[in-house]
Amino acid sequence: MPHLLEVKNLRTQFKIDSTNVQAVDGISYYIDEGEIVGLVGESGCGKSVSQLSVLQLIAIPPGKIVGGEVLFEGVDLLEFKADSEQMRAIRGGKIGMIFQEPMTSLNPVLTIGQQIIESLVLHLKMDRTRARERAIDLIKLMGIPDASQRIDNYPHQFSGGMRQRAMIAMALSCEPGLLIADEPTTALDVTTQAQLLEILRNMVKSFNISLLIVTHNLGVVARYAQRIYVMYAGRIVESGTAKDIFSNPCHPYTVGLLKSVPRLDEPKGRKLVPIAGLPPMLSNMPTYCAFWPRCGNRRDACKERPRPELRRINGQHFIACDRDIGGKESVPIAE
Amino acid sequence: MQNDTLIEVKSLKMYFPVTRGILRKKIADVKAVDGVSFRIKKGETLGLVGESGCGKTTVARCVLRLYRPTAGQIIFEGRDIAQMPRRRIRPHRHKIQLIFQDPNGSLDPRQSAGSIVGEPLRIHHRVSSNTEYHQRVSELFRTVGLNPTMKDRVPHEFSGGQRQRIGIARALASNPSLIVCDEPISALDVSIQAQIINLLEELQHKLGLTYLFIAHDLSVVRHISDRVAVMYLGRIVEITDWKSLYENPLHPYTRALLSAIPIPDPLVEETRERIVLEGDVPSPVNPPAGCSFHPRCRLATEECRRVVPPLRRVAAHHEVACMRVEMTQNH
Repeated sequence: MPHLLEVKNLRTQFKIDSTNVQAVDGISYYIDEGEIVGLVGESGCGKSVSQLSVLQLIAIPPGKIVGGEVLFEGVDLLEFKADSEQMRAIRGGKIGMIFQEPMTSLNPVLTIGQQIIESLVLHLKMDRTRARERAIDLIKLMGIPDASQRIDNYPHQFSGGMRQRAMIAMALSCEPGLLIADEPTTALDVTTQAQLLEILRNMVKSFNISLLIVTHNLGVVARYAQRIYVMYAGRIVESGTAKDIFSNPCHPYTVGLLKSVPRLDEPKGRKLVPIAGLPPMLSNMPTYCAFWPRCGNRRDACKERPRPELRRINGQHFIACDRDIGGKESVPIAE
Repeated sequence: MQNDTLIEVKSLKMYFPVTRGILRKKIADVKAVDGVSFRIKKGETLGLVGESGCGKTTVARCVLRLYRPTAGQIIFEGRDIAQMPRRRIRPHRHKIQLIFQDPNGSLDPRQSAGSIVGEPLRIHHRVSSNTEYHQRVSELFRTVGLNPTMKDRVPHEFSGGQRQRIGIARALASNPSLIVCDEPISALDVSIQAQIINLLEELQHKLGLTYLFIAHDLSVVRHISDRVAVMYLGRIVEITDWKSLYENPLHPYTRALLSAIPIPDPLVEETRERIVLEGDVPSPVNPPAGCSFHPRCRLATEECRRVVPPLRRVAAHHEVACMRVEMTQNH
């Protein structure tokens, strides 16, 4: 069965000071129907740029999608121009988007209702009265009380959590097949985060939508995602089911990330193990493994090889590291 | 027992007036902090957790005497500094220092790293000669893991983690006994956060520092703190040692906060209880009557709507402000 969204070897460059910086360097991933997938990485690893590229929302210039395919329902979206009819039908129509900062993604001079109605009229060709009814239903569904009055509020009259709920309502308004949530809860309070993620998960279940959560928070993906992709310096370095990634992390970067965060349920006094050094400058990437300078398992031999490609180690579990695992390369590991 | 207390805050209140009209007539108060008491022992870390608007930063600013509190006492090294006039407080300021959240906003972009770190030495007259000044700055750089040859660089030439180290070195410059850390890692990348937490722990060990550690992330707070105070709408709702916080949280809000923090392990997550709170934090201008948490609390009764629950002791190191926590839950 074809995947709902399959991205193949996507590459995006930015031209900075007349040099080309490879922000997304050949990443491939897929999302199936009804799945929740997590894309994890630190700031600057290219996780947001990859999503903006999929939707052709990056600024050209300085950005440029230089290669790859984005197959959505079997059609390559990169065949369409960024401002084409087809892309506009995709964005906000078949693929919904939720961004990190709800205040900057909402228009401050339009009411919440107007902004939801706009996409209903545009994508579903509804008339205004019906669109308004549907908008009220959506707001209600998000758990905002007094929906029929609150719909005429402006974004500044909403709290941060309510704004993000309005964003989710907007993203869901046209019944998309896929929802891309880029750090959907990062700017919000802890309990509000939990509220919103539960709402998102319930929506995914009840409408049979697929959800891609882009985040730096390992806990969030552990709680919600079925499959996970870990990104580092423009590439995917490890992918697998949530169990693969958390019970048996294999890439030194993933292992490092997990060791560096404190957990609520661990014994006190565990010393956190930070990842040494800093992420590489994208403008000055080594030809070998980008994680080498920070890697605890590095060998001199790694420096003589090109950047490692993803290889299967077990079932759906892939890593981009040439390091031998359990003595044998590319062999399923016991445990 | 009393002697090892470094700072004791008693019934601290900080109200900000809400004014209206050209005469700026006072119409209400924002009770940002409304009767907070705690004590920190020498060499201890007290974690202060809560969501935005709960008053945790206001507590910090009162402790630093950046605000003059509306009421209450702040007894630092035996002296009440809560209402001390500016001039008299100045000689004591060097003993309480602050590490900021945002390393970009809290460093002057046009000042060299060396002079940022060295400024408190001059202001508080901690050095007597130029040679001593330069020696001390280099020493501070080494203490926080920076190379003293980088003294002449300006903040933008450093990475986020290094900038936070500069901020820490500046806080250490005047030999403080108490450091208030206000969300010191939340602006940093995941892989860098651990470096700063470890550095703070090492420094505490080496220099015998006392921390008031403010954050919203309970897993970080639990990791670094000896005791943890949970704040909600200007009050402490639960205060306990790090162990009981996770193993035996009593206040419904603490439980919700804990349950909101995911654990990076899908197997653990499958079996965890989820408590999802309804609604938002109410406005501190017009807080609900009785227990301010009651509109969001599943256990709330009629009594909770009327009576403000006092913080009461339920175990040796465990105090909680909730009517519904039975004394039988003693352990």
